[in-house]
Amino acid sequence: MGFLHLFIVNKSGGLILHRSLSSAAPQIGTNEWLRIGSTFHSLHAIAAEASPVKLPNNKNSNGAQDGIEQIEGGGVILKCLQTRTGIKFVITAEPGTSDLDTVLREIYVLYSDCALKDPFYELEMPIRCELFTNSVDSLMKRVVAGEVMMR
Amino acid sequence: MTVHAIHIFDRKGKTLFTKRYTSSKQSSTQDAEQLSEQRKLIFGMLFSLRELVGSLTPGNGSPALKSVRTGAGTLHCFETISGLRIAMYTNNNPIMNTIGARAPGADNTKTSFQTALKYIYSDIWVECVVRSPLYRPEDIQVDPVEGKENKSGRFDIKSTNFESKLDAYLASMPWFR
Amino acid sequence: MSSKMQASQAGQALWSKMPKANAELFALTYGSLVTELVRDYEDPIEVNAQLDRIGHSIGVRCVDELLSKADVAGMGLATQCQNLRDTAEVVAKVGFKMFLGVQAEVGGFSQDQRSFSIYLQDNPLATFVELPAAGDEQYNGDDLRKLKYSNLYCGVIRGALEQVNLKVECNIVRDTLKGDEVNEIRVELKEVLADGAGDDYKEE
Repeated sequence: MGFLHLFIVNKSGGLILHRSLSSAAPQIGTNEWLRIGSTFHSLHAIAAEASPVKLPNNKNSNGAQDGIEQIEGGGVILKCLQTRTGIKFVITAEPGTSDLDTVLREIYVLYSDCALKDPFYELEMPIRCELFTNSVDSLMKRVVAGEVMMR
Repeated sequence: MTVHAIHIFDRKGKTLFTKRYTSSKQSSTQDAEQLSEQRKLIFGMLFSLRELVGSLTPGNGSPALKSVRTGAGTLHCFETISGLRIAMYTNNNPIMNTIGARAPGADNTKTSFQTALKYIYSDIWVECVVRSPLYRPEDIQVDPVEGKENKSGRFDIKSTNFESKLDAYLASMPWFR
Repeated sequence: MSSKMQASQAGQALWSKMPKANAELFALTYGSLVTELVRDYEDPIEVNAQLDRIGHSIGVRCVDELLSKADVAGMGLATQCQNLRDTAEVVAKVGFKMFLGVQAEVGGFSQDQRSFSIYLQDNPLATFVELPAAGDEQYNGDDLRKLKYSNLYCGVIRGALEQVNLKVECNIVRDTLKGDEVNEIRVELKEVLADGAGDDYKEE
């Protein structure tokens, strides 16, 4: 299982978290992360715009704005979960990694449990909650060890 | 139709060929402006996505973009070293040929489209367009939709049988229907 | 309606998975929060506004929790909200059930389908609560009957729906603390906000 990076983009396109999930992940500087975050945010919307066929009301099956769900490149797969509240959870992994969807959804749950319930966490701001990052790390360990948790 | 549209761009972003397969309700009244805007959008998007994917790819991978999926459909891309980009829009669950369906894993879906695009490039584009005696790489007449008068000296893709060969090839694909 | 049943079932299932807190602790903590606010602000109208603000802050966080847990549990809430009626069902049957464990009912839809009411038989916030009678010396004549004790709910609903682009106004119209038989929260849709569009992209 080759998970590489996780990043989370808020409603306005600002990056609120970026995390390397394994040692195989390329090193990316903070400034570049910010750029990636906002570029992805715009491209997400543009992809839906540029498509010759559009979903009714531009909402996908989740009720969220339609946009990029998956990108396959030569050496990487990128998956995005767009929530109805406008937050994007994006994960990259080596091709052939399975369960990316489940992992993304579990991370959304962790976000709502750890980051949102932290009284010092301001919405839309960069996430600085240790509890959240620790939970994400232990989730990744569990997934890599082969027991994906199905609630 | 499973395939919605095909666009071919050169390295500078100029649209060399474009064709829509879905019956668009506004096809006749839709502004040529709007269509060309949309194509610029697609090119720009492909360009930026490639950079984005490139920065996220670990060292041993190649930064090529293969496909982009949204809720509405999938965009399959193929890029040559000469900078030619072929982009094909399909819907999200194309009917695969039986060989593809029987083989394990989802990889065959992507391989099949990649192979198709590669074939379109090497066997149709190169055969019909590049090898045409009238071919001038810098001076290609774009926008077959507009139907402008063919200025002398410019190379018109319509003068080749690229489009008809392309249609024939795609029609032979089981996932085209 | 089948969607009603689905919402109730979803609410029940989600409630069973949530970690539980002691109901008395919850009610008493809220009670002390309200009394502190009354002591600080003195004007009950101001206290209502503060409770609404606090509720709003809670609501914006609850909505993600609801959406994420429902999604992971495979509830498929997503496709159900075609109109305000469905949204109302989800708020009442899933939201209230999941976070508070109470059965809430929806009704009172207006002609134009832009407002509805949520009815709560028992209010977990108001266990042990009694509003002092008007003219009570202790409170310097402040009419605490203007206090909307459960105004937190209004803020929560407002905050939660704001995150999914629905701007609403909520009011408590009937309160068991004031002698009515049921708690009623009136929710009115003000406008549907447009989603933030992707940035314009300039070709290189």
